[in-house]
Amino acid sequence: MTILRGRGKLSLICAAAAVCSAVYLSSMTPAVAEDFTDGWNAYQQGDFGKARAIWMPLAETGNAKAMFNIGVIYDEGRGIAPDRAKAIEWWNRAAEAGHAQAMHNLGLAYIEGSGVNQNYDRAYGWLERAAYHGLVRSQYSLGKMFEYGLGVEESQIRAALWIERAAIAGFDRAQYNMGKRYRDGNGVEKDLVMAAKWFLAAARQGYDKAQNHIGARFSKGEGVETDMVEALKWLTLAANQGNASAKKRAEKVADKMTAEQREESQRRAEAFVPERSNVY
Amino acid sequence: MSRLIALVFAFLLVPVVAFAQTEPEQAAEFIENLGQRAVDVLRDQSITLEERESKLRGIVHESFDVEVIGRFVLADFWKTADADERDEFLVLFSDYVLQTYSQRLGGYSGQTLRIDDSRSHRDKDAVVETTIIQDGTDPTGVSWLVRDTDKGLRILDVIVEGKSLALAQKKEFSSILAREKMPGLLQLLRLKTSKYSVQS
Repeated sequence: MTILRGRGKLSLICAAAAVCSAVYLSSMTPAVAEDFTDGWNAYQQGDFGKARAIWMPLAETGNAKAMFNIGVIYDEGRGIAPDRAKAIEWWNRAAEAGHAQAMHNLGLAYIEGSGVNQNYDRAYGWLERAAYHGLVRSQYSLGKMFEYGLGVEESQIRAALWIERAAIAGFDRAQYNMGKRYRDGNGVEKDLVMAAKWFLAAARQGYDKAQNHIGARFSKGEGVETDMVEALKWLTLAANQGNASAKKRAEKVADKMTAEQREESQRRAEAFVPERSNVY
Repeated sequence: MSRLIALVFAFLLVPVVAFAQTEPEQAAEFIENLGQRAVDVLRDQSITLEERESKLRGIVHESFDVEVIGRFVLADFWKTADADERDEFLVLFSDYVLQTYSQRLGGYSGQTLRIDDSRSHRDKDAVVETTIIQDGTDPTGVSWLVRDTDKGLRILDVIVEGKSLALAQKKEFSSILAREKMPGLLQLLRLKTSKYSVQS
């Protein structure tokens, strides 16, 4: 994108303008005999119109991954006006062909009532199928359906079973949720050591809420040995991500520490590298 | 267009008396600078689209006043929400807005943004009028409502061809707020940010 300022010209891309114009400005490149990877490469380069042109014929001839991706393009409005109904149509075809991520997105759409009428039974059905394919987001979402009683009888025990499954697989939000469950004895037996373990697992992945909680646990010695340096390290990391609660807590903790301890916390925070999980 | 901006402005819940007049010229430079900061990210083909969008989220986060937009979207529900609900809403809404906007802007290039005009709006804000030009399509008018806040210049709303994004989000959430109140909206936002995107 080029920016023209007044009568002059500046060679700039205006990202924010593109945000808003995207739904209005669509383009389609003539389809040629290209394969799925060409579509992926075009998508990565930001040429969504070309990606759609390549994937559409593949989707129409039964390629489940292409069907799913076409659904995403419609759902997210990538180079085209968002069209949730079309997204659902393509995800439905992909899900029927056994595509797990399509099952998940379809399940969420039925909970949300976006592009389809809200239907918790169908949502549960698709999410359960996706969960048994091993998708952690689906396992977590099923847990949430039980937690809130969405179309199923509320059961904190069944919620904890699904969410712990996702936590064990490495899903940070599920790990954080299990931390709270073990802390409060919600759906599981109260266990502060287990709570700290799950908060720490999610914190190591960079999840700010979990960093705030494990920071608090280290400062109070709940489920872990008291360690003010570690406490301030985690609270600082969470605060740096904009976590307001961690910021307040960090200030209180820092007041109780020596200058050397604070410096060591800062050094550890700066050296922190989030663990990358491949489960998403 | 001006009437719509005035309408949106009237609903903004932040007490405007706390802020100084936003200089129109500075607002225009701010919008221009937004593009300047984004250009390197958009042109960097050595990283994946997901990584580019993640970087762009940071830029968008610094440019939009998500809290003001969020309060506007919630309207009366903001007043009745408890502190925890407000905090969680702002976190989830930020994620949702940033994800949505970053997805829209992540892949676009080859367009032209023309800055047509910038002017004061009411007592505190400025409006920057721009036009998006792309070969083969009609030009698109985009207006930016900018305010000089205590955090610096921030975008409060974007009006594309007469359609306010803030109003669109307010409308999107109004039915679920009416039906399921804040817990329902929070759950909806959690779901919206957990879908899977394209697969390789």
